[in-house]
Amino acid sequence: MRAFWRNRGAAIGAILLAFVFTLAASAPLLFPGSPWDMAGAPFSPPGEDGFLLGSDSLGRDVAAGIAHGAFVSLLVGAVSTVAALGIGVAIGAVAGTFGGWVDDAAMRFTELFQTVPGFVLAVVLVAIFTPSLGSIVFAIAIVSWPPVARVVRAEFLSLRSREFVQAAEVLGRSRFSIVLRDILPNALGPIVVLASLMVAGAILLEAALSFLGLGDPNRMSWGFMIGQGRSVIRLAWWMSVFPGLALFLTVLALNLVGEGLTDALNPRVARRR
Amino acid sequence: MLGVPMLTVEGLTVALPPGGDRAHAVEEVSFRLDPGEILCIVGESGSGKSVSASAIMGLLPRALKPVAGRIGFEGKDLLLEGPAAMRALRGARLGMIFQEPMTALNPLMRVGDQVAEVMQVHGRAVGNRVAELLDAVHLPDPTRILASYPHRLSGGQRQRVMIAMALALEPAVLIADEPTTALDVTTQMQILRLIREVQQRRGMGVLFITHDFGVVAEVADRVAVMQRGRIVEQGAAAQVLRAPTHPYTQALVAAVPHGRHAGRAVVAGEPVLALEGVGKTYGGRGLFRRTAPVQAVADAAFVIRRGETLGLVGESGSGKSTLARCVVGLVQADAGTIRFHGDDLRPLSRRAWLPYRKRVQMVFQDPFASLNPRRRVGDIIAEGPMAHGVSRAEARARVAELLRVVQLDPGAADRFPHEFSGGQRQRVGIARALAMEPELLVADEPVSALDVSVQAEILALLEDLRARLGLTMLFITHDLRVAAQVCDRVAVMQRGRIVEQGTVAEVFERPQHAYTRALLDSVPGREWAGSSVSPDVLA
Repeated sequence: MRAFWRNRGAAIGAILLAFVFTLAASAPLLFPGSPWDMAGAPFSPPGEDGFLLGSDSLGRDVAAGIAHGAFVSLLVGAVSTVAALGIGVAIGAVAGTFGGWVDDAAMRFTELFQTVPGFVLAVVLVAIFTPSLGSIVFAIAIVSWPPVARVVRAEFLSLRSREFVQAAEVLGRSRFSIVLRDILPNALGPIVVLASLMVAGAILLEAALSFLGLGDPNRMSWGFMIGQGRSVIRLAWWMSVFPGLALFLTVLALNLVGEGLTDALNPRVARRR
Repeated sequence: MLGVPMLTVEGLTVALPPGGDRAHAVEEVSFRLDPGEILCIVGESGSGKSVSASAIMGLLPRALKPVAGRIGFEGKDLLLEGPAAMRALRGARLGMIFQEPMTALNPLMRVGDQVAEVMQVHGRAVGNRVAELLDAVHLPDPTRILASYPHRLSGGQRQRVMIAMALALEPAVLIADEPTTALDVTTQMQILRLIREVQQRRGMGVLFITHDFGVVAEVADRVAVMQRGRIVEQGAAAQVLRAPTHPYTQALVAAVPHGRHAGRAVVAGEPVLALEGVGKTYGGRGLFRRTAPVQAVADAAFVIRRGETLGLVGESGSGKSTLARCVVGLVQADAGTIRFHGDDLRPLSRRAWLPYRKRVQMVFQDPFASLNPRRRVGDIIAEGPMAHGVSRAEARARVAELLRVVQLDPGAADRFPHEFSGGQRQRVGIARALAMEPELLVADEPVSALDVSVQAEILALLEDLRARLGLTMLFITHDLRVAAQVCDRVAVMQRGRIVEQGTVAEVFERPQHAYTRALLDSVPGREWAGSSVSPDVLA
């Protein structure tokens, strides 16, 4: 933990991330009412007409949109990562534990997903299931689990040959208990690091989907705001720049945290700094 | 040898980063190295012997700073020399051989080019020197070897290449940091002889760092013994080895496995374990890959009777560990029978093995890898019996008792493995095996990862447990001295086959097989161990 905070980039990332969290949590208090409602004159520049970050073509408050959009971004990022972890860990663990033809079959199945371009698959899935928070989360999870399965499998394979796992085998413990108590806890490090980077990836993917108009029509989202501001960027730059900046900072923060975690969980790298 | 010393180290003190277990890695270390002598620095892990060598080479890790002392070499103080000056000295005047020959060579460069590079970076003409050097370290067919990549060479051959590189510019001083620790005994002996030979031929001074008193007895002219960063005793090899004066040296020398057999009565109980024609071949088929099969064990047969300890001796790759893993069912043998009290264990499924798990247990080699770092010692010991239906309360109650049996504090149960030393962890590993109350204990190199004094303690503990609990043991080791000390009978393995077996006295005194004889001849410090004590099996 101390190693994490000593890394300046990771500390900045964590603070940024905490700020985004607070923003998402306090959005209903800071900006009561729906971010879709008209709040004043359209195309007001930042700082005028009571709009901190300006208003959009329909007079909606950009600041309110960013605050409410933060909630959607974090929610989609977190839930789809948890779902992807669930699928990836399960498949990777089965492949790594049983080996042999089970491993071969599981890995070929994983490769099937890796060969399809992730974004295209996500677009198709959301289009088929009609855009909603649920279908977006589902689509993102489906396209982002293969790396998890690969990492978990590799960790399991290396841990399985470690002596403490062999000792557990000799004691006659069940496979399930060995996986749960001996292997999985020792494989958590890389999984946690991967997860923090996957949240960033999921947020970007969600933004990209809603940029294309495949977002949840009832939820304000950063990608949607950028997409909407795109056509009037010369007229009202603030409509796309501020949501873009929010997106950039959040993803940057997650990457910094992920890198900090890598270093903190890998003592050999941490000590060299 | 009198005269001007080649290298003098005076009052060398190197600070450790704050927060370590002591303030200095080495403290007030002074020694000198004369031309044409081999000075051995002996010590256990953490004694500061490698730090001393790195300080001379100017290769200290950045966190370690020399704070006092002087290293005199050819009229200069090496501690005051800048990086550029040290680079010019390294390789040219100061040669070094490292411990791990498998990783010390660049895998992407031909051997000949790597040896030539040493000369090129110091601006010397290469010419025909590479082949000469490879020939000087007795590598067979130098012209073929200099054109091959490192992966084609064995560990011993790579170490010879490393020595050739170190000798390329005829350095005045050669520093060898545990150069034979990673090698098998027979290879070790060849490398020791080679170092001795080139040293005499060129009149170099050699600073030889080792933890093994047998190796010291084999090569040293003078010895310096280090303990916790200080030199506690220094003197001529014969004197330090035969009449040590410092209590620490005395303890270390006494802890060296002496190869004397305890002289137990021959056991003639009923057979507990009987192997016949056991074989294991690795490799073969997967759905998408195919590898060349490797026969790890072939046609292995032996019998262990109740209360007996059978030693399985061999070098790395001889198949001894694979055979041990076949016995405990970690590896499924693909031929023969493994009878435990008459029941064949070989074809059993995971489930069918369960009743035998209580009766056959294993102690592993590496105490740092064999305990789950994220579980408490108490849980580690208790989980075996719990997996076999013993209640949690009952299993936990036995933990304290087991910890006492392996001479650990009962408070150890609530701590994590990383809080213990290697020897203490190995005791935990033994307690975990004993928790199952096994009849047969398979010990796979249980002391090879430990310092010599700790090694002696663990061997004494195993011997005590064997006598008290009436354990039957299969003891795997590469160290003949250890085997002679703890086993009743030994089986010698070479390339997957048992080439010779019999009682310790038979095998060690009248070896029948050429390989056994070669192994026995390669035990380092054999003459010293033999003559410092009364005549014994290794004499």
